[in-house]
Amino acid sequence: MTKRLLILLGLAFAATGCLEVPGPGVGACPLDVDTDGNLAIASFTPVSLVLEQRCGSLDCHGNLARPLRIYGARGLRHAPLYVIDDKGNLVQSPNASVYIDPTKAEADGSYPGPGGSATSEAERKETARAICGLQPELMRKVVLEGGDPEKLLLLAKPLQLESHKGAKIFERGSLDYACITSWLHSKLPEGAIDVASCNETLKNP
Amino acid sequence: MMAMARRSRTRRLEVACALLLFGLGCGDPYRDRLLDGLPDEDPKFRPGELHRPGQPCLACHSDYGGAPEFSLGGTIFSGSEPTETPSLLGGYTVRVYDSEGQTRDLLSNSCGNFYIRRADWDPAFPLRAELYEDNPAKPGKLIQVTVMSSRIAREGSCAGCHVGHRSPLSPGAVYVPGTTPGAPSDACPTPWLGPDPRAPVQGLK
Repeated sequence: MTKRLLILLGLAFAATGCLEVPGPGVGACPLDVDTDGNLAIASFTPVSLVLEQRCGSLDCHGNLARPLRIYGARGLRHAPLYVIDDKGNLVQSPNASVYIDPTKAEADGSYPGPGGSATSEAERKETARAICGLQPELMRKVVLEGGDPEKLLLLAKPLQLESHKGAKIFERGSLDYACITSWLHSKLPEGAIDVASCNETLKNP
Repeated sequence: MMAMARRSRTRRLEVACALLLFGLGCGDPYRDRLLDGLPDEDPKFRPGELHRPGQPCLACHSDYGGAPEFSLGGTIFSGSEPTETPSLLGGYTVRVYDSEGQTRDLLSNSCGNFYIRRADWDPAFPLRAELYEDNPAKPGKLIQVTVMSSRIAREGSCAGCHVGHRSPLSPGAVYVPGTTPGAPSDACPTPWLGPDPRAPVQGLK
């Protein structure tokens, strides 16, 4: 009797496990796609520029050691990483490993500062991913349900509502604040990125 | 009598444990790793303004390192590209502006080093940095050579970011464009250009 019950329960679990297949986008960064399902990186560009300037210097969030990594032309570059294979050759690593190649960086301009190439779409995507990955559930609440953006570390830290080694970066109500919060709520009905505030911020470094 | 001896032993054990925990709690693994990665002092040069060119000054010259505390420090090299034998460049002025509008000019010495003690200036970050050379036509006047493209958010050691060769993680050491590297000099210690670029990237495992 018990055995039959166990088998039945097992079959029931197996069946329900097959029913709930996550669809595309479920669990993904809510800011990664726009309402048409396209990559929203183009619209993220003005916000990315503000984050690069305010947060992304090499001595702050332009650093691989930080959970929130901001990539950009004048900070951390997103470039292929390499491993040394068993024949001693430098080969591109498919995932997290751990060497850089200065010769290749020199050739493709993927180093920070003057002479380096402009921030790429891949870098903006990585920045957006890092922002979403920091507090994914809370991010979904803010983006999709209009939750309080100041609950996110992305704003709580630079406003110094939470301890922040880089101190206060901007004030509530500032242009930076308007730029970032408008982006976070841009997927709500009537939401839109405040591009004017983003561009104005960049004039006042 | 026995009970007193037991209490005394317990007390000693408690004190020893407290000291051990205190000792373990005082270290900063990030800074310790930075200090461990630096080369030994060149025995031909006493610790002073000419020593350890190219190294991150504030690794030691900070409240952690024990040497006299600096606010800023760095080294200037000649040439426009990293070379195997970089030469050090004196007589260049680094002009630093802080966020409160204060300015200081730091002159590189004969081994390329420049610095300012925290007791003399404790700037408000972020900072802007510009590089100047003497104007040969107008003694006492300076000509701007270049401007740092990003802000210094909090790192007082130039070599904290300008480390080694140019790579996706670093703009490279501070070279003055248009200058020609000279022959290595016995008057200065051998400059350090950062860790081997093929060393594992910190922060990724």
